[in-house]
Amino acid sequence: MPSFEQIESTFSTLDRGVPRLTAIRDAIHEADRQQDIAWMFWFRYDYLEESIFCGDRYYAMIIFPEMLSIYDKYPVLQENGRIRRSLLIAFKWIVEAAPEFPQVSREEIDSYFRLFKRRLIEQGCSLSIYYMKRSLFYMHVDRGIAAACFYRFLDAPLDSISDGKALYHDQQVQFYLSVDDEEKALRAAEPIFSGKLTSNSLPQSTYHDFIRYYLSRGNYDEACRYARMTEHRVNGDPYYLDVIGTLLSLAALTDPVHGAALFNRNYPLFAASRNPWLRMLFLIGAAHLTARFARDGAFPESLCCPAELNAQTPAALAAWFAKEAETSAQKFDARNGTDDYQQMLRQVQF
Amino acid sequence: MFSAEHHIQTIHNLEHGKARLDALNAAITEADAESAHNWRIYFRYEYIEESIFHDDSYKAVIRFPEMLAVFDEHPELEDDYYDDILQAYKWVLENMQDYYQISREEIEKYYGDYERRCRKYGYSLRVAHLKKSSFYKHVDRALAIQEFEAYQRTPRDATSDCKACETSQEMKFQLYLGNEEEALHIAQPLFNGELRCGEVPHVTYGGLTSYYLYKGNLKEAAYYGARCERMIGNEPEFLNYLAILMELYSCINPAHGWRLFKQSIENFLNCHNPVNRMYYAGGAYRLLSVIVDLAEGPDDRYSRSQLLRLLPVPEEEKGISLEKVRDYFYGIALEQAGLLDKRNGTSYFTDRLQKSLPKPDQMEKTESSEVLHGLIQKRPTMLAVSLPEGSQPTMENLAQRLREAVPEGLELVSAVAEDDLRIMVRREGILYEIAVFRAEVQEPLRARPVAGLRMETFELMQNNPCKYLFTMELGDAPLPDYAMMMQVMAVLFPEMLCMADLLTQHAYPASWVRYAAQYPDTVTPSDLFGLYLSGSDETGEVWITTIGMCTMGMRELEIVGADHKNYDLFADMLDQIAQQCVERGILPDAGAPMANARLEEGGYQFTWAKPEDYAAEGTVAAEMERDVPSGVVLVLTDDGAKLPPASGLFEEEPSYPSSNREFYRRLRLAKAAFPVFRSALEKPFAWAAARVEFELDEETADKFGFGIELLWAEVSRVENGKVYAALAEESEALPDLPEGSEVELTADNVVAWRVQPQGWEAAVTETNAHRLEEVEA
Repeated sequence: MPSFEQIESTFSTLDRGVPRLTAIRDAIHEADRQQDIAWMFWFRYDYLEESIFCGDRYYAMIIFPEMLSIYDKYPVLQENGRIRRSLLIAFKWIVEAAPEFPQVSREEIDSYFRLFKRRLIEQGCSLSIYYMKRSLFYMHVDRGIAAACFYRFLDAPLDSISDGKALYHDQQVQFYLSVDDEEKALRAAEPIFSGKLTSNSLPQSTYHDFIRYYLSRGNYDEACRYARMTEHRVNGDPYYLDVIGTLLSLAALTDPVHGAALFNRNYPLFAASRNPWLRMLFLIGAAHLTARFARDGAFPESLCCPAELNAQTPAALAAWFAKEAETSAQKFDARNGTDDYQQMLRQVQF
Repeated sequence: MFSAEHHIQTIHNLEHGKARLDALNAAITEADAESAHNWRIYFRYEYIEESIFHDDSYKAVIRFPEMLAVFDEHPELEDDYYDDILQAYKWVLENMQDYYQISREEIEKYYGDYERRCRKYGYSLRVAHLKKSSFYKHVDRALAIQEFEAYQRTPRDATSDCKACETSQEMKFQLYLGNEEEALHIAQPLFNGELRCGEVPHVTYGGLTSYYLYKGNLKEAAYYGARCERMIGNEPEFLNYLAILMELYSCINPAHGWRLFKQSIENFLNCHNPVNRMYYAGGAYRLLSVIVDLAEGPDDRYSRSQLLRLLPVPEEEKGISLEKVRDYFYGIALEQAGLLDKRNGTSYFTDRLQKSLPKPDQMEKTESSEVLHGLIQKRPTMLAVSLPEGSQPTMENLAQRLREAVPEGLELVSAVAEDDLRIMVRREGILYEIAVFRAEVQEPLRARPVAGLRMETFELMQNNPCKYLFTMELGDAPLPDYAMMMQVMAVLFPEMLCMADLLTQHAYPASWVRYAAQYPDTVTPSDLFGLYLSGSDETGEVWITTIGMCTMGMRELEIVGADHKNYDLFADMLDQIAQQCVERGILPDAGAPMANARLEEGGYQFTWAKPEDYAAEGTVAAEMERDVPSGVVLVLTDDGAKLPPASGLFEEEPSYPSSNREFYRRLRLAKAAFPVFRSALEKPFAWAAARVEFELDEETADKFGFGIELLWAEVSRVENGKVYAALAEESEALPDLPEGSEVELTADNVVAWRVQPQGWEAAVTETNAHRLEEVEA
C-alpha cells in the first residue's frame, strides 16, 4: 500500500482535470477510511485546487464545506500554520467561485464573505483580498457596495493571502473601466502591459477587460487590437470560456468567419463545462455570433454546426443560443437583483 | 434617489480634508433620510477616518456615538460592520483623551464598552491596554504603568496598531519612564527604516525632540527636530509636533521658528482639538516671548505680516503687536492646559507650560549623546548677483518686478521693500522667506565659474563691488527649492550678468539661471554642493572636501590622504557619494552605511567618522591648508575594517549605483526643453541628434522582456516647424524600422537630445542648453 505522500506525488503524472480529480477523490476516500486527519484535509485541498484551476470549479464548491468542517473539528489542524494559511487560500478561491453558480443565493454568498472576513481577521491577515473579491462580486449586484469595497481594497495592505501585485492592478483596471474611467484604467494597466507585473492569468485577463470595455463603447478597432493579443492565450482553455465568449461577440461584429473558427475550437469545451457562469458568457458570445450568421442568411463554410443541436438553418441555431443565453442570464440576474447580463446579451443586435 | 456609488465616486475624487468631510456629511444626511442603515454606518466610518487622519479628530469624536447607535440599533448589520466599529472605536478612543469636555469617567466608560465588544468578537485587549496607558500617562502614573505592562503581556491580533505604531508608542513610554537608552534601542527599527507607516517615524522624532528639549539637551533636540520637520510638512494632523518644533526653535533658531509659526497659523485657527491647540499656543507663546525679548527697538515688536492678520489681535498703527500676539497665545495655552489638568486631576500641562526651556547660548553646554549625527542645523543658501555697470535697481523696483510677474507655481504672500527686500512666497503649502539686500563687496568672491560661465564675465562680476545678495533656507525638497530660487532670481534680475552661490562656490552665467528657472529639472544634486581641494607640495597629499552640504542640513564630507596623482579618482568618489546623500536627503549617523561603490572584485560601503580619529593615526596632514569649515572624514568599510578610502585601496576606478531619479529628471528635462532644441535647429547647425523612445507592442515586449526601445536618430531635416531624424542604429525588437528610417521628433518621443550649432566646437544637450542663448547673442 503506497503512503499518502506517494499517492499525492502520483497526481502530477496524471492529466489535469477529470483524470486527476478522480484520482484525488479516491485518495480522499482512503484518507477518510484510515481517519488520517491531516491527509483528509490535504487531499480535499488538492481536489479543490484542481477543480478551481483545471476544472469548472463545480467540485470545488462541493468539497469546500467538507474541508471547512474537518478543519473546524480538529484543533490539530488549526495549530498548523501551513494548514491555517491553506484554508484561507481555499476560502479565497471559493468566495470567487461561489458567485459563478446562480443556485448559490446572494445571502449564501454574503455569508461566505462574512465567514471569510472573520477568518482573515482571526488570523491577523489583511482584508485586502476580502474587499477585492467582494468588490468583484458586487459589480453586477450593487455598484455602491462594489465601489465601497474597491476603495477599501486600495487602502488595505497586501499580504501573503492577497492575490499579488499584478492582480491588484488588474482589479483596478476592471473597476475603473466599470465606472468609465479609461484613463485611470490604462494607468493601472501599465505595469501589466509593460510586463513588469505578470501572473498566470495576466495579461490576458486585463486585455479582456479592455476588449469588453471597447466593445461596449463601439470602439471595435481598439477592441480588436486587444483581441489579437488575447486569443492565442485563451483559445482552447476551458478556464477562459468567458473571454472566448467576449471574443465571439467581437467577431460577430467584425469578422464572423474568424468567429466561426473560434466557435468550432471552443464549443466542445463549453459543452463539457459545468460552470454556469463560464457557460453563460460563452452562450452570450455564441448568441451574438449566430445572430450575425442568421442576419447574413448563411453559415460560414468553416462552421462545424454542433450535430446535437440539430439546427438546420442559421436562424434555428441563433434561436437556440439566444434562448439558452437568455435563460442563463436571467438566472444570474435574478440572483443578483439586476439585469446586467441580460443587457450584455442585448448589447449586440443585428 | 440616494446613490451610494455616486457619493463614493465623488468623495474619492476630492482632496482630503474639508472637501471630503463636507461630501461625506452630505452622504450621511442622505443615507439617514433614506434609512439606508448600512450606508449610514459606512459613511460615518469614512467620515471618522477622514477626520482622524486629515483633520483634527474633533468631528470624529462628535460622529462616533451616532455610528455606534446605528450599529447597535441594527443587529442584522453586525456581521458586516463589527470590524469597522472596533477600528473606528480604537481611533476615537486614542483621540478622546484630547478633549477636556469628555470626563475621565466617560472615557473609562467608553474603554469598558470597547473592551466588552472586543471580548464579544473574540479579540484581545492589547490595543485597549496600550491606549489606556497613553491616557493615564498624564492622569495616574501607576495606572499607566500597569496598563502598559498588561499591553506587553497581551498578544497582537487583528485590532492591534501596526508594528511601526506600536514600536513608536513603546519608545515613547520608555521615555516617559525615563529609560532613554531603552527607548533609543527600541526605536532602532524606526530609525533605520525597517518599520514605518503614515505617522511613524514622524511622531517618533517628534517625541524625542520634546523629550530632549525638556531635558535641556538642545543638541539632541535639534537633531531629532530637524528629522521631524522633514517629515511632518504642514499637515494639520501633526500640529502638536509643529508646536514642539516652535518651542525648540525658540531656543535655537527663532527666525526659523517664526517661519514655521506663520506657515501654520491657519491650521491652528481651524483646529478644535484642545490638546493640539494647547501645544500650539504654548509653542507660539514661547517663540514670541523670545522674539519680543530679542527685539532691538520698540518697532521690532510689531509685524505687518498678512498671515498674522488672521489672528483675533487688532492691528495698530505700527502693525500687529507681537507682545499682544504672545499674550493671546499664552491665554489660550493656559486656559486649555488648566481645563485638561482639571479633567485629569493633575497639573501636568500647566507645569509643562511654566517650565523654563534652555536659552540659545546653552546649546554648546548641553549634553550630547554618544551618537554623532549626520544631520545638522541648516545654513541658508546665499547667492550673489552681479548686474551690468550702472544698473542699480532699488528694493522697491525689485519688489515691483516680482509683484508684476509672480513665477508659475508660487504664491506671493508678501514683498516688503525697506533697506532690504523681504519676500515671502508659498509653494505647495510651505512658506519660504527670501531676503535680498545690496552690498559693497570689495574682496573677490570665492567661487569658480561653472556651466560655461566665461572668464571675462566672471571678472566683470569680481571687479564690480556692488552685489545683490539673496538668501533663503532650502526646505525639504532642495532641488525644486533651488530651482524656485532661480525662478525668483530670474524675475528680480532680468539684467544679471552672472550669479555666484557663496556656499557651494559655483558661479553660473545668467543664461543658466534663466534656463533653470524655466526648466527646474536643470538643477542636479551636484549644483547643491561644491568640491574644494587643497594640496601640500611637500607631501604630495591632497585634501578634498564638499562645501555647501550644510545648506541641506548635512555635515560636509572630506577625503584625506589622496595625492596629486590620484586626486581626480577621489574627487569623483566624493562627488558621487555626496550626490547619493543629496538624492536620499539624508546623511546617516557616524558609522552607519551611507553610500555604495563597486569595484571588479565586489562592493564597498562607505560611512563617516570624526576627523580626529584619523588625525590621531597621522592620516590627516596637519600642514595642509584647511581654510574652509571642516567636516567629517569619509570612511570605507571593508570586511569590518574602517579605513579612509584614500589609503591606497583603489587601483581601479570604482563605479557607483546610478539613480532612477537622475534618469527620470533628465528625461523630463529633455521633453520639457524640446522647444529649445527645435528652436536651435531653426538656425544653422553642424549636427544634431536625439534619442527616441519606441513603445513595443505587448507581444514584442513579452518576447524581449522590455517594453520600451531607445534608439539614437540623427536630425535629417526641419520642415514647417517639424523635426525629422534618421535612425542611426537598429533594434532586433523593431525589424520594421531599419537604420536610416525617418521618424518625426516630438516632445513625446524624445528622451535626450544634442545639437552642435554651426561654428561651435562642441554640442550642447538638454542639460546645458542655456548656452544656446549665446547663439542668439
